[in-house]
Amino acid sequence: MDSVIRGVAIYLLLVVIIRATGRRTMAQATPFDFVLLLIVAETTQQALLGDDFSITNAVILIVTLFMLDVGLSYLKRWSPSVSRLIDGRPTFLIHDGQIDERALKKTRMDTSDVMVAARAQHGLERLDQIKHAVLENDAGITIIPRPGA
Amino acid sequence: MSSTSSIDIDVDRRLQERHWFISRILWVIMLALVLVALLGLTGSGGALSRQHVAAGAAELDIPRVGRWSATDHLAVKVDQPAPNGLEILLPAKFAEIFAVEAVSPRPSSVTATAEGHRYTFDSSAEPGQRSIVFSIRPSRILLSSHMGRFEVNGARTADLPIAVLP
Repeated sequence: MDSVIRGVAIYLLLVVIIRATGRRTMAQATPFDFVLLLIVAETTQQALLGDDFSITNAVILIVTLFMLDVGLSYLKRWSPSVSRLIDGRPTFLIHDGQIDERALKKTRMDTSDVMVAARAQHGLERLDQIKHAVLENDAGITIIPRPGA
Repeated sequence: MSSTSSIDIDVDRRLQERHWFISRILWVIMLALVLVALLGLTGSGGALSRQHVAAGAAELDIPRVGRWSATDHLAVKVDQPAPNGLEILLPAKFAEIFAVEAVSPRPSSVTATAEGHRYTFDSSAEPGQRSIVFSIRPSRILLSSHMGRFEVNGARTADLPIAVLP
């Protein structure tokens, strides 16, 4: 029983923390963010397993985590409000050429992050060539260039 | 899906603003948790994680906050000769929650009594401080709860509260 409780608690805690610390954590991962993720993974592993390294414990935890994942995906499918709560919705960083400073500030990004995506996706050279920049649910930035840019 | 002028995208600015607001609140909670941990109120080090109490000539260093299944220690220091040996009583409730994994030095005897576990140690008559350390491990989670009175050579401590966090 402990294994299941540990699995559920850690999974839900991670969902809340990752959601609360923002999408930047996942997409614009710098080497520091990568180190952070590695440490979190190691810490989580210890919290999940405790001092029980048996195969039984591992199997129960793996099954619990997969079941949670499957359950959550069904929950999101059935309830759009749960889906919005867990995944969020896309956010405009640039809309019709207008930079949304508030959105950039709140998502802890700046125009250089947007330009990284603009260069990578469309080879754009300047900010004014961007029509829309959208921070997607999956934490990536989608760039839609101005016609002729 | 709501359409925003020239682009078909499901944005919800109100939800996003609410999310940013709640995120900031969660950040404050996380910061508070870090500060609480630095103070020691989550156990494992920090000024408030342990309690130092006296029982006659003995001084006891006992955890105030423990962590479930994590090793901890309880130290007893006696600063007077004890030619007839030392006798330490761990109250019954404490002994029920904390498993004693090792005691250094080894006791000459351990007796289970209604009041708790009574440990007896041989001790020399020479002056100087004696130190006894119990390695302990909480076996279950516990909200802050009074453990009863510890006793060293007949002198008792106050009724001490200890919490065990998950």
